[in-house]
Amino acid sequence: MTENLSLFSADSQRTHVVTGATGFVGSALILELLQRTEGLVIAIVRPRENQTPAERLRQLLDELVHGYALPDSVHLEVATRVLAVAGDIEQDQCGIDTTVADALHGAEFWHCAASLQYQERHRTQIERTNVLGTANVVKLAERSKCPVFNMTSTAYVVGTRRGDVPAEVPDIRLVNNCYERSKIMAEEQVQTSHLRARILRPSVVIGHSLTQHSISSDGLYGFVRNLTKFRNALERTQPGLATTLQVSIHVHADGRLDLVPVDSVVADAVGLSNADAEAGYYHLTNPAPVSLGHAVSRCFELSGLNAPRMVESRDQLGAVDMKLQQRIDFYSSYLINSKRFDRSSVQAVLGNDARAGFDLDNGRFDHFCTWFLDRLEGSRPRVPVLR
Amino acid sequence: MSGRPIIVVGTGRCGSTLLSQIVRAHPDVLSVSEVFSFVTDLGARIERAFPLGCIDGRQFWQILAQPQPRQSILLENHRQMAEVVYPLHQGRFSPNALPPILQAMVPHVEPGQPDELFDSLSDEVATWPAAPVADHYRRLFQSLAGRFGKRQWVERSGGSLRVVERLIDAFPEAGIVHLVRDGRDTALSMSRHIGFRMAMLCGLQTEILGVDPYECSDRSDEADLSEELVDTLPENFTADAFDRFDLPSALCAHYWSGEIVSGLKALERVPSSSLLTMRYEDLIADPAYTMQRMCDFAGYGAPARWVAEASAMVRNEQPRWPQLPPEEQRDLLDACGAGFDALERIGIGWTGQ
Repeated sequence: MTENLSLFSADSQRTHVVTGATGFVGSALILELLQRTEGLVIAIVRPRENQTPAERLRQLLDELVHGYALPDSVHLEVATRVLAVAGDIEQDQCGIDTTVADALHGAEFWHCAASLQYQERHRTQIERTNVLGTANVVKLAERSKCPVFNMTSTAYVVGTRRGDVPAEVPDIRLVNNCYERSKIMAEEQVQTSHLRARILRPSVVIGHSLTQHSISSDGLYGFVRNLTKFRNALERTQPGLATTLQVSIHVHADGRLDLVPVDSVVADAVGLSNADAEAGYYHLTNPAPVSLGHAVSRCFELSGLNAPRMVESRDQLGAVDMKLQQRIDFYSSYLINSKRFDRSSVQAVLGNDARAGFDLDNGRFDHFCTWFLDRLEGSRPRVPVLR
Repeated sequence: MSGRPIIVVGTGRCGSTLLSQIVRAHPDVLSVSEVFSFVTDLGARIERAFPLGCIDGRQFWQILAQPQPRQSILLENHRQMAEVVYPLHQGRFSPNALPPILQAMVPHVEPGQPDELFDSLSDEVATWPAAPVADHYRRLFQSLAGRFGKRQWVERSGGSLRVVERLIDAFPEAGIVHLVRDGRDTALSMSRHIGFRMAMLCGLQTEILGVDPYECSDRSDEADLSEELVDTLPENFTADAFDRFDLPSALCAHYWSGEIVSGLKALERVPSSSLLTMRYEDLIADPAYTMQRMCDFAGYGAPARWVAEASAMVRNEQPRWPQLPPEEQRDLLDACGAGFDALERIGIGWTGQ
């Protein structure tokens, strides 16, 4: 990897510009681009103290080549075809200097940077990153005469909508939280630009389909992490309580939970690009979602809790149940209002090349949870003694 | 006969404050109150209050006198527990710098001039040579007893069942009085008590953040905190946010069960001759008999005048849990189940459990 633009020539092959390159989807996308395209990848990376953007990105990508069990040859691609430039999407022109911005001429953009926070108290920062940040990336893309702008959004922009969900403009009145609102506003920034834009909407992204490796601690992992902390809090309250208490949770047990491995997301995303798919909305979701009741039960059990009693209404929750519910309210988008995302726009472009449904039954779901839980346990800090 | 020192332990909100007040009136016995509640900062800094190895007098004084963050933030925000009896409007210490032993212990034994006694203790303790912390605590209690012409001492701290193993190890010569109260009423009281509310919310914050928010500024896992736990972090703390914190009595009842089960297990190694279990309800119903029982156990005399005075301190109090709606009564009973079962095995119970 280098920071020297002169080492690259973008004459013959399309260059790809990626924001959010150190994020879960952005980093996997870069590795997919390296394997399925021949162009350069220019990653806009926020600087950090004591580590250059190039060092930071190289270290991450090398870890992921190993973690995703990719061929060793990808290390060489990382070293020779990825360019990390210091930038910050919250700044004008994404904080990159004009010389670098000029070098992006004609590049295809992949906007993956986002804040995944959802709490109202972080609303200002969420909107700064997701809305203002997107506006800045769009401006940079327009300046660069970008031929195609790919924006990673979320399938959950549809908020409380349930049942069949077409890939179309969402209704902002249905959002559950300020994160979903910000993603809709970000989509609007892209759609009202002059760019040819693909809005890519993954569902809940989980680790690699073969190795379960993940750098995400959100989505499924955030849910499991919160259950683990709830278990620890119960044990702190009364030793043994986690295994004697059965809590209730508001969930549509007969619904489906759409979890999609990160490699499936980026495979379909790059597939759409390579097929020169039209502008539009694309659900990068799993055609074979898992049973919600089964998934929630297993999350509880693997986190060291009893399988919960699943209730149809929050009114059926007791005082202790509400303590858990407060902490997992964000995940209600996934647990109630079960959705079936329409993948026909992806299917129409990719046909048989589209990723088939990833079956999470037969213990596979457990593997993703335990992979994460093992790492969580290993990193658990020592809290003060209780007695 | 001077009898033996006594450590009173309980879950907290079990009526032991009343016991301290009764002992305080005894002519020969010094009532030491809330030392272990406040030097541990409401149970959050236990290791700091019980360091391993030997420490000298100056180091011990730090444990006794260094203001504690949880207590300070509560007092700064005008949330003062009933147990904090220091005269904040008269004394020289401000709410955000009130030493742990000035919160209750010193004004409990010297209500007239707590600052003077504090200064005198400071001079004395600083001269003590290195010793295990248990020896320092013992010497402190003995010194206080001597200053006030008492022959023995009784220490009682709310919620000290949590550190009962450390107390058993520290004071093998002491008798242990375990005061128990119906878990349902105890839990109801905990859910409204400033100190317990603070201890419970800090425990939740610590478990979720992975660090004690009063010791460490790392907020990497702040996103996992519910709004009420964010609003009560030390950097955001307000009295209103603290008052809004919803602490269900059922959760307190689970805590009570946990403390009873763990506490009884720890007390198994105390010889039966050194352990007395008393019900708070019996103290209320028949204070004279209950205090006579305690004095017999401790080897103290029970002067008739003191017994009469003690009886006069006791107010007739009815259980509160029967006034709850049936569903809440059932939740409390369920949550107290493990504690009730454990106490039943040693022959202690309540009606309707």
